[in-house]
Amino acid sequence: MIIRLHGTVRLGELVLDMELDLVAGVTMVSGPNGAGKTTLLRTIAGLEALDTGSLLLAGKPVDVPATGTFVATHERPVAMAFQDHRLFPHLSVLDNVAFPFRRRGFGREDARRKARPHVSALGLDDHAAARPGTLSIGQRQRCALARTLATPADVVLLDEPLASIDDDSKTRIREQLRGLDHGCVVWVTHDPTDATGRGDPSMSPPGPHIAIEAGRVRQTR
Amino acid sequence: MSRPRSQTPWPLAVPAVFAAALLVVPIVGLLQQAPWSTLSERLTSPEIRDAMRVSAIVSVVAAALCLALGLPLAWVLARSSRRGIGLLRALVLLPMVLPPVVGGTALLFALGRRGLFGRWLDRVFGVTLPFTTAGAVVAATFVALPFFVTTLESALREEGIALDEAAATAGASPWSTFVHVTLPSMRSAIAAGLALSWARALGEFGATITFAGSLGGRTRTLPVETFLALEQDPESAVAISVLLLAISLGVLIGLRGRWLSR
Repeated sequence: MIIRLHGTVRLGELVLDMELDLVAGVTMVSGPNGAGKTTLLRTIAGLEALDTGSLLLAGKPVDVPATGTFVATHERPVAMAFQDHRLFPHLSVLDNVAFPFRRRGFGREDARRKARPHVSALGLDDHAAARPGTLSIGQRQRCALARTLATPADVVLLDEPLASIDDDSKTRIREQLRGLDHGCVVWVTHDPTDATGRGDPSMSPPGPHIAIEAGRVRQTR
Repeated sequence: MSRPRSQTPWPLAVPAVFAAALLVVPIVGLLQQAPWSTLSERLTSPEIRDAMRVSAIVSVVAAALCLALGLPLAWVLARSSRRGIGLLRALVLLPMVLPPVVGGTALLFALGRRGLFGRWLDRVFGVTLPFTTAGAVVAATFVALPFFVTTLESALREEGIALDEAAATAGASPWSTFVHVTLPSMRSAIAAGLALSWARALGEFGATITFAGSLGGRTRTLPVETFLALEQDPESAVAISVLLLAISLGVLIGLRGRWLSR
C-alpha cells in the first residue's frame, strides 16, 4: 500500500472525510467543483494537515494528529503538479525542471543533464532556455508537468494536468501520464475522457477511481 | 482608444496648483541660490569631504544592516501567523511617524552609557555607541529600517506562498526555498528597499545629532554639516543641499519603474 489515508480535514466550510488505500498505478479523482479534489491532494502532500485520523505514505506515518506526527512536505516522498503551474519566474524551463535535482544535492550541470529527458518528453526542447513568462499557457503547464515528473517520488499528485494543454498534444500527454510507472499517481480531473479512457466512454475504464461527493472521499473501484 | 480629456473642477485645480507650488518653489529657490561657479571647490573643502566620508560610511552600513536584519523581519511579518504579529508590524512602522529627535532621545536612554542596554554593552563588550560613528549608524538604521521592511513585506505578500508550496513539493526545505526561490524573485523589491532606506539614512539628521552628536570626521554627516554651515557659511550649506538634492533625484529616477511609471 503506497497511500493509506483514513481521516478528516476541515478547511472553513469544507469538511472532507477520506477513506483511501491506494497501490501503485494511476488513480483518477473526480467530483464536482469545490468538492475538495485539490484539498485531497494538498492533504497527501502535507500542504494541509489532518484534523483526525492518519496518513501513511509508503508505510511510513506522515500525518497522525493523535500522536503529533507531521512530516513536512519537502520530506515526504511526493511530487505535485499544481493547477496554476507555479513555475519559478527567475529560472529557465530547463532549470525549473532541474530544480528537484538541485535540491537533492546535484550540481548545476548534473541536474540539467538529468532534467533534459523530462524537458524532451514534454516537447519543450525548443524552449529549454526560455523563462516561464515568455511561454504560452499550454507550454507552462507542460513545463510544470516536466518538473513534477522529474521529482523523485513514490506519490505523484496531478491537479488537472491537462486543463490548459493545447488540443494537438493533449492525447499524447494523456497517454504519457497514463503510462507513468512512478509508484502511485493520483490524478484529479474534470474531463470524463481522462477518467474513462481513450476518449471513448464506452471502453472499460482502467485502474482505480476515487469519487468525492458531499464531503466523502471514497474509492469506487 | 482615446478618451475625452476630463475637466478638472476649479475647487480641485486651485489647491492642486498651490500644493505643487509648495513642493517646487523651495527647490527652485535652492537652485537659484546655488554658487554654481564655485560649487566643486566648495564641495571639496576639507570639512565637506570629511562629512561626505562619514555620510557615505554611515548610510551604506545602515542600508546593509537594513538588508541583513530587515529582510528576515519582513519575511516573518509577511509569513508568520503567530499572535502578536500585528502589534510587531505597528511597532516596525513607528520610526516612520516618530519625530527623529524622539528616536534619538530614546536611543540615548536605551543604548547610552547609562542606558538600559548601553550599561551592559559597555560593561560586557566595552562598546560605547553614543557620539561614535557606530552610534550614527545605529541612529540611521533606526529611521531607515521601516522603509526597507515595509517595501519587502508588501512584495512578499504580493508574491504569496504559491511558489513556496511548489518548491516544497519539489523537495526544497523552507530555508532552501528562501535562498533559491524567494530571494531571487525579490530582487527588484530588495533594490527598491535598499535605495529607499539608503536615501533615508543619508538624509537622517534629528536622531543622529541627538544620539551621536556632531563630531567632525566621526559623526558629522552631510545633513548635520549643512545645518552647522548655515550660520557661518551659507553658500557651503547650499552647495551640500544641491548635492543631496541631486542624489535624491537620482534615487527617484532609479525607482521610476516602480512609482513614476504612468
